[in-house]
Amino acid sequence: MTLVRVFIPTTEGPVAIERITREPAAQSAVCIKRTTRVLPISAAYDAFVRAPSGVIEREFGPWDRGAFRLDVSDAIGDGESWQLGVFVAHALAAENRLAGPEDDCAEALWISGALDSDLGVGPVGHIAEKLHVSADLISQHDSNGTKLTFFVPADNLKSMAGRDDISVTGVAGAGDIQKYLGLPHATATSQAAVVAPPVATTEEPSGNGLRTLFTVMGIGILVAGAGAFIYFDQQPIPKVPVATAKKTPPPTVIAKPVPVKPALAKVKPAPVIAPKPVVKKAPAPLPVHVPTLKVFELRATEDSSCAAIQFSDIEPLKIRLTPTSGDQLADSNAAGLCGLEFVVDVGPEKRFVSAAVNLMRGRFVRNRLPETLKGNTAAQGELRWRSHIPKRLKRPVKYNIAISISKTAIVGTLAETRTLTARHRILP
Amino acid sequence: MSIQINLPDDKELSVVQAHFLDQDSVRQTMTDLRDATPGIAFSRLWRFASGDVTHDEELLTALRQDKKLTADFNALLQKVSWSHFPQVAAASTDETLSLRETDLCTIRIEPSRAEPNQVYVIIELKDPDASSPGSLITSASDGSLESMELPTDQGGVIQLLLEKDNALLMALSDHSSEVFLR
Repeated sequence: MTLVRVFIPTTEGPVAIERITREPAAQSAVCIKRTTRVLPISAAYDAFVRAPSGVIEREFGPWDRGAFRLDVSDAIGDGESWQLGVFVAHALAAENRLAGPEDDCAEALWISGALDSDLGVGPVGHIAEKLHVSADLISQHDSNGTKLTFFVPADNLKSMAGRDDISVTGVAGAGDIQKYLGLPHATATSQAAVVAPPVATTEEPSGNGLRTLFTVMGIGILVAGAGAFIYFDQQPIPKVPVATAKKTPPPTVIAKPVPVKPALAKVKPAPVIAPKPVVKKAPAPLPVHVPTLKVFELRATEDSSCAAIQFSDIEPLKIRLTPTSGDQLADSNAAGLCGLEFVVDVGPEKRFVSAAVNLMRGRFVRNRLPETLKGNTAAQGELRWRSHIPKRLKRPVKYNIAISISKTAIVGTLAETRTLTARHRILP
Repeated sequence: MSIQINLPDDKELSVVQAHFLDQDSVRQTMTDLRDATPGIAFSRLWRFASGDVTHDEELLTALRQDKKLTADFNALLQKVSWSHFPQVAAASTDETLSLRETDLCTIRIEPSRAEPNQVYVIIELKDPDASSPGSLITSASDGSLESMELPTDQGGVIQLLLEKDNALLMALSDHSSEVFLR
């Protein structure tokens, strides 16, 4: 695992991102050199981080309640050119590859670029000036032999012209840099990097890896994903012990005991039967309950509207979404779709349930999970909540949902959980 | 429970202030005549409590020395404040306070995970659309006063990052301190 240092160029000089930490704070903040000096860009950073509009929590979340603290080596002023570098730093931190000030790093990145909500990179100003004031950084890396790579928006590439002594790459999307670093990335790069070899534009499933890792680290929801069972109520219920018990002939006392394996219980017993057998009835096994997750489309009836459903108690038309393969649900059409209802049937016994909805693309209008789905309150029966869908969609909404069910409170990765998952798209 | 205070308008206020200034002048004159240590005039307390004057070392010293003056000042501060957090009954003497609440807002104290010697002070307004306070003032039981200008709120939340040994933070965590948001 190679550590990478990220520099944000400013007109005052390059600023290193030293550390990213999750804090029990209300707002994400940018601090200088681990002190209490909070930079004025903190408000913009908080908006850049916070879901649903911010890209960091959307791409790398969900997280426990709190906010991020970003420690930098010096002040970063106004503007948006820090966004791409900060995004890449978060992607590195997610893989424990962000180099701190005391760490030896294999490579350093000089990154400038604004980032839109689709992770496309937009042009920034003062690139030539920022490069000029980075002369010391360049010579320092030259002398100690650490590779220093420059990433700028493709539109700004001409500002770097005439510098043969540095390696500059123009990028169109954050995914270009993630791919360069071998980091998992959720969204396809919109365009190939200008200098880098062409990048495939097909969406790669590896994006789930990053989210999954964060989810595991954050609330332990997908920890059991690899080893746990993925249940859907369409799947066959594991009835083996129950079925065996039902098919076992009435207990008898065999005159000459023969060891009989449960699997052989169907074998006709020996005909010699002792009189008046004493039968001890085994306690009736509890019915095996398999927790289920169901997702319903909520649509307006002929005499109602989405507004009436979302803002009053009008009952919508509920259409259950069925899986097409594995945990992939059938796509929904956004036309006339007011929202979604998620129903987790925990069963008759009390269980701790933790739910996470990972929005990979797009957003819900309301996506607040009930308290009973945060893993610290035992519940039974059906737990349900609703999310509303924006009235107009320009792009698909894509999300996955993970439900962890445990006999004990779900804290970190300690609880032994059973996991239900579903993936779903809403098409415009 | 909130207290409704009807403050005078500008015209009435100038009359009141002029009156108190006159009173102050008379008292100062009489005090000088008696060759005694001058007291703190109400107008001076008023100007400091309302934020018109931000630095008055003599007044701060007087507040630490005179409990009655502190009580008067706190009462005045309460009237001009956006929200007032009175002293809190302590469960135990060594317990520090991490949450204060009024019907307008809460003040939470959360230790930083990244830097153990730093602490977040989070002020959450219950009505995010309400005008937010501009300063945080603590009045400790020994009469010492600490204040800090607040950043503007973001979505009804104001956040400060302080060192653990910050005097204002220590007063904020102390059950016996009164806290004012002005």
